[in-house]
Amino acid sequence: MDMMDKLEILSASAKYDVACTSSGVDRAGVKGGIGSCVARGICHSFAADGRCIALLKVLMTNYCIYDCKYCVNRRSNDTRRTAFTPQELAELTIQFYRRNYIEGLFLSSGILKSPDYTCEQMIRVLELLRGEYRFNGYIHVKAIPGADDALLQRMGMLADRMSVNIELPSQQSLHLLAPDKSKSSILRPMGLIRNRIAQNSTDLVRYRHAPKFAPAGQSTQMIIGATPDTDYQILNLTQALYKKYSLKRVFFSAYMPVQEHRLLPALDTKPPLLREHRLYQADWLLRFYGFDASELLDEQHQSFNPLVDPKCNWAINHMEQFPVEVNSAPYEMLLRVPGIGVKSAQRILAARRSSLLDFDGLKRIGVVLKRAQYFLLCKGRMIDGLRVTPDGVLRALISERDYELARLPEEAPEQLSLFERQPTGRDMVQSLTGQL
Amino acid sequence: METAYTYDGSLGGLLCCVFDSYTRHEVPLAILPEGEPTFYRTWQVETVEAHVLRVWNSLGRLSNEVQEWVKRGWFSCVQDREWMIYQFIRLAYQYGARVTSMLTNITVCRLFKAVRMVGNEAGQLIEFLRFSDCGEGLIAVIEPKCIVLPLMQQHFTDRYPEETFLIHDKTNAMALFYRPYQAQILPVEHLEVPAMEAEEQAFRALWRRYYEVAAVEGRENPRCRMGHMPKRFWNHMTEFSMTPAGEPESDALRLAGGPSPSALPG
Repeated sequence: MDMMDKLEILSASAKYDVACTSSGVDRAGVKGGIGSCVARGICHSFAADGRCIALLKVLMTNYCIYDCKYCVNRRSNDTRRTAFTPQELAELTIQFYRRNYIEGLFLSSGILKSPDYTCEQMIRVLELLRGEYRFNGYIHVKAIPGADDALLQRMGMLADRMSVNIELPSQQSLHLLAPDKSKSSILRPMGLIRNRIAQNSTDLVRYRHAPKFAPAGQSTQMIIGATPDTDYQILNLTQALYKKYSLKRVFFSAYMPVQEHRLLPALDTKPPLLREHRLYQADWLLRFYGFDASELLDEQHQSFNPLVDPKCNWAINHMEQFPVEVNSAPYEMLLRVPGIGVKSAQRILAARRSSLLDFDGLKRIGVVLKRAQYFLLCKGRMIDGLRVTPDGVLRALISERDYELARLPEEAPEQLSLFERQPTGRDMVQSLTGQL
Repeated sequence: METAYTYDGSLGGLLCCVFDSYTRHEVPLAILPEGEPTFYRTWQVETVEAHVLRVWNSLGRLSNEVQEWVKRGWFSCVQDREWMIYQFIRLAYQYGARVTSMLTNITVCRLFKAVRMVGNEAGQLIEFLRFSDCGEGLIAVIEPKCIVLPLMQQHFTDRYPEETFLIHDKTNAMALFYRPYQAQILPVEHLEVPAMEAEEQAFRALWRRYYEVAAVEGRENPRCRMGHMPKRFWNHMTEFSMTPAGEPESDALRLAGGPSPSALPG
């Protein structure tokens, strides 16, 4: 099989892994080697689906001894199988890298022969890259559940980021769809990696040149919509993973029906893209905005509001905390204003040090007021001419794009019309209060 | 008497305008490149190395950020950048280092936007620039909307210390040349890009195939892609490169039975 076919097969089966960031580690290039890393991450391209391409994301092999129902590479699936040799893959990575196509390699694999054997093959690639090519770029590697601890440790010494996919957000779902995996078989390597990273950071304090173990941390991914787990369960699990396992990122992947199976959603199911989007928004709120999962969803509200983002939803339900005075509100409170992000909040902090801010000043420093205006005071006053009616506020808070995404199938236009159907005020109020 | 200054069109010349304006105790009516027609009485500013350094170092003493903003404001090539930078430097002398946080001031705000634009442009080109191996080294062509090579130099020379490469900025007719371990930015009017050899063609084809396969069907989102990767960059990106006939290169290669990279040495 020639290289073109191999690349096609092994990248096609790897693409459903959504993690493709190259962030988390700063490393300068070295003479005699090739490559460097930038902590904020660099995206080199964007695929037709709008997702970033930062790393060469491939499987070592798509042969697999497991039979997970949701996976294209499962043993019982009739598909073309192949494998890279370590030399081939290392050479391809370097050739792509020096042309500035990629930031590095994302290496995952089906399980060939045994977890240990697979792990050894992957380590061989990393050793070639780090050793022979003196490659200093980014490497993300999937820890293989069930592989020997020593092998996982070796992997971590060579890679920048490691990840173990949780895939399904509950033990029950795992049991049904991935009978060969269990919660513990996934959490065990995750715990091992966490402990090694923690141990490594104390080593680094003692010996400055101690080799680094997975310096960009670890991440995981969950499939959304293949099982009946709710947003509430998923978000709580996410928060627990950040806290207990010190993960750098949790990724969500809307389930794309690729398999026909009685336990899975039908093949014509649309991927729950809006749900995935809302989960990412909430994930950002947890990581950068100081929110707690319990503020966003609770036992009574297990799903995200389809029409407004989680932050707006929180703000609408906590109107007693608004409006806030731009010139005196603490950073944490500015971050909670819908429409104000980390950059805007930081800019407000910088600008108000030199002079009192008014709404024109806010616009000038680049704060978008479309949504924020309903929650802000400048020098004790709301923006001039703003009429605050429940309808108006809601209309301003719902983005057109979300409205499109949230449109239920039965709402889809049945008859051609010159005018697009606009949501009425009542629709929105009903949907926000949960009556829809 | 009120005067307009004319200068030699370089950043150094502009800094000398600042110097002259302070030594002559006057605010010029305008700062114009030499030869630009004007009704004002003009004062020809001479570019003196000692004056350039004095102004430049004085900015550095305020803060590195002030210095960096002046440099990037110059690179931004926005309309009337001379006047914007001149006014900013006056403000900087008046308020000191905190001038860069006075974002509600119209001049500071304009310069801030220009500085951000330059940084974003350089950042995007660091992402979207593509090298081709022409046998003797790597070549990339870019068409940025402002001057970015000085801001990209550090990144690429650090990343590829053992490569020999050239980045040609078509818009500003200049190029970054690098061979281990020295880099230089020189004016380049025209550059003949040599024809690609088979090995290079093969890697390009591989990359294009990888790019096509990486998209998940059923999630197409052209608006999202364009938002992240504006179309003006596509011309010079291997993913979208075309043959002279306007066919995507990959198809042409497939029809011609291009070589398989596995058959290649190395």
